[in-house]
Amino acid sequence: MQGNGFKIGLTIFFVGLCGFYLFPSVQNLYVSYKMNNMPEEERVEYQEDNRQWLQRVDQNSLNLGLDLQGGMHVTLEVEIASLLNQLAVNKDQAFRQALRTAGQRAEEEDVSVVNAFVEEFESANPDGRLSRYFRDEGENITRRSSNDEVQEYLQGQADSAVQNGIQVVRNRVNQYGVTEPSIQRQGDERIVVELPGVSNRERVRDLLESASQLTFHLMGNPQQLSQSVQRMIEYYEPTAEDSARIAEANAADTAAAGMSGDTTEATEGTQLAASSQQSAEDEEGTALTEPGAGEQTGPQNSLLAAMQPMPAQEQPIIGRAFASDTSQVNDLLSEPEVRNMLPPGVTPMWTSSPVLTTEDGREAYHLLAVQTEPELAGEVVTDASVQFDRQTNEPKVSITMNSRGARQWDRITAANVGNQVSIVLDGIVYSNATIQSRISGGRTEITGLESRQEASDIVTVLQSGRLQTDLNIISERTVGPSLGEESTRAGFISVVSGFLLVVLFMIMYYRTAGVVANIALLLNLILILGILAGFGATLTLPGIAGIVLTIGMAVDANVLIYDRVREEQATGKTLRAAINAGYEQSLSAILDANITTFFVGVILYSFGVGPIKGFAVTLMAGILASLFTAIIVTRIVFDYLVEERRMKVSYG
Amino acid sequence: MRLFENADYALIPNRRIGYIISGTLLVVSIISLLTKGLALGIDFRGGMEFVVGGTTDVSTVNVRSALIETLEEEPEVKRFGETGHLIRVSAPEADITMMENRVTSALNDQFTGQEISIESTNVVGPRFAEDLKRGAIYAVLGALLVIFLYIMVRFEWRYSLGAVAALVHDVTITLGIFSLLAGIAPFSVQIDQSLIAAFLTIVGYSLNDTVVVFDRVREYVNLFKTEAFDVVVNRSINATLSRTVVTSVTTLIVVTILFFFGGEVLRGFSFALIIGVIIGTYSSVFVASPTIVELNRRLEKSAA
Repeated sequence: MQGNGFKIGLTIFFVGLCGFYLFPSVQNLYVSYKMNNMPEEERVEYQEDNRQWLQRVDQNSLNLGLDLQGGMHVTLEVEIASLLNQLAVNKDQAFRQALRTAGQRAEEEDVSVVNAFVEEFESANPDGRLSRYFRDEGENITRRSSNDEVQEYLQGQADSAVQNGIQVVRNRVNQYGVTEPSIQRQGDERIVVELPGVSNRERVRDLLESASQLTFHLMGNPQQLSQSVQRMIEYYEPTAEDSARIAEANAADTAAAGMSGDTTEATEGTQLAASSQQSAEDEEGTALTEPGAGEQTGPQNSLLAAMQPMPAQEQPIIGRAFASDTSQVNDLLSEPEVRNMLPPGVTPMWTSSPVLTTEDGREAYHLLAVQTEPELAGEVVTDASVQFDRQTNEPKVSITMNSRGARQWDRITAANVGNQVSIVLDGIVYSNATIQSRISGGRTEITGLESRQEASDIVTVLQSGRLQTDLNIISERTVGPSLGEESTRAGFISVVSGFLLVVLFMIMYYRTAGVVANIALLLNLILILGILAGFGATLTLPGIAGIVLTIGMAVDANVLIYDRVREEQATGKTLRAAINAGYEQSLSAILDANITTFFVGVILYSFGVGPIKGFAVTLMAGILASLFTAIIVTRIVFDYLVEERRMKVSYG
Repeated sequence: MRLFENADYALIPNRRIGYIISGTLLVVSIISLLTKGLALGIDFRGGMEFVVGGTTDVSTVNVRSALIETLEEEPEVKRFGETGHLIRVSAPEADITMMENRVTSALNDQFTGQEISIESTNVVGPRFAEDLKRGAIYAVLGALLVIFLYIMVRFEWRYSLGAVAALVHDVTITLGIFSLLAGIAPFSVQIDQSLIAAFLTIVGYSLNDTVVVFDRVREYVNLFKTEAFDVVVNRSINATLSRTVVTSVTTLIVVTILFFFGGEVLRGFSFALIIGVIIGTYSSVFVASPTIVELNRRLEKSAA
């Protein structure tokens, strides 16, 4: 047994680590089982009381792929060719030809549009200079810039277009109100969007693919607004006969809507000023009130349940709601009758960033009353950048407009000094500032910003207004909840029955040693799941197939060892000597066989997409786990049985 | 329980039988691949797939004829488990929502009284398909190259060639069987991403078997220096035969379970694995090992 201390320690360490990572998943299973057995009311209460804890458990448990839990997986592509076309000036035949060929090449080969374009242009025009098409003072691209500099600039522009696309998609998805969406960049020009449990595919497609439009809007009149809001609340005030129905329908929302008083206020007045002007005034944010009152007994007003109205302010704010309730509010306000209660020509729009965050991490957004007709289209913006105030060092956004835009802007700002103007992209308000004075000359500054981040977010949005980012769905996979459930069940049955049959076979074939191999196999399963949970990997159906396959193949290492032990025993060795020789002699074969399969897993992981990656991950995790259990864990058990207990171990 | 203990079969001396079997299978596979070809899934050629629910009582033929007119092409229709049907159209540039609505409304009109719903969709644009195809080719070539190099470093080039010969043999025959079954099998045998994953797993599995035999050959060559190489190889195969069979049995158990209980989505995948495990086991004995024997013979001849 000497020398096994380290191995035992290692085993305990790994198993403990996996247990640590798997614990939240087990908790999650237990909690959802418990909650499923609770009556509706009790469940809502339980969820409310343990919101933070439930969220943490859910976040830390093993992720299920969309093919198991149901949902929508969309790959979007940003049209870089159209971006280049928009960026270029003085376009001629050579430019168009190069761009067209580049588009085709990018479709057929593994090359980015920008690189293909530059290559095509250079090969067709050996002495041609790209700087004749592209000009950008801010980025220092001038007539004298070399082709390499232009290429780098274009790559930068393409990159920020994709970043931009991600931001646009994120806001649109938030607007739709999906829980736990995942939006990730893939490669140079793609965005992968994963939305669990979507029922309306058509709406999501439209939402993702619609062209983004940047506009500048004036706001609704705050005085008129407070009356409108009052009438809307009255509209949703439950009447006697439908109070029962409403009470039932709103049970869930009611409990969810109580806003905690412990909040951090993030609203601060932002101002719009002509470049030269220094703005000093700082509007204090709205004071917080405890909404909806804690003791809600009778039927609930469904609008008040989802949104906290914020009337009687000098601001065009309709109300405030948590992210989870925004789509509910949208539905309530889109009732034709309610819509008509708003002042004419006004549309409600949400702010892009949360105006406050509660202590348990929930974010609330303002619903603003914005004039439906835009004053100015975003294409007049020629440049936008983050700058810092020379005196206070505060971040600010500087906007430059073309001459046509500057003229209109002059007129708008002159007529609306003291009013607010908002920058709107896709029906979301990104910035909402008070006009300090008439702005002539087209150079505008937004000051009074919270952070550098806020400033650069606004710049990103302004840039995207200048250049339209076209997003196309190039692949979509949706799995309905029932099919997902079916797959989960099928996967579970396969794992359990595969495991049981292999366990039986091993006992039949190898007797005591088979039992030891089965212990290793069970440990193996725990280790695989632990590795997946620990690395935050997602369990997909092919992933489960990988686990099932691993169950069959994991015993291989033990089979190799056991057969070797039998062979050694046949040569007349004692049990102990045979075990020693068996483990030693079979090690090279086990390692060689597993390393090659591991390589296959690595290659599969690097070239595979989506669910296949899940398969590769479980395959690799399975190999690592089975190597560990077969070589180290079973050895500890045999050493213990043979040396400590002096047992006669049967290898069948 | 003991199987093949002290096995002493004349496998290498009778390797011609293996050559005949493998040769026949290879010829049939290659002919089928050349004439009938492979049915590529939408992953690699682009297209749309819809799984509709609520058509359980309707025959596949009726579903197809109900859709031909509205879709402006003849869709592929397959039964999909308990749920209903899988409908596959090529429609490279069509709008997803439009196609989806056409399918549901046509089926609803034709089969009134059924609750028709779209359970899942899978859409791959032509450009994305091109990328997936490229990725799959890279993956397969990369895997073969890495394996060749690893075996060469760990063993000798002869063994490397033997191992890769076995792998090519396995993948060709599995592909051949998929080509033969296209249009006949009651489940999807189209080549898609998950099948590439299955093929690479077969490659890994077959290699596993081959490496174990080669490892024993490596050991016995040093142990029995006086014996002829083919005798040593035959002895190695027999010594590892018990392990080869036991591992195949456990793996076959699980992939068969996956085939029957893993659901419709995994059927083609697990079918490929079943074929692969059988052929991979066979090839490590009858293809990989004979290859190194033949190579050794050539070498000795040219040396003499």
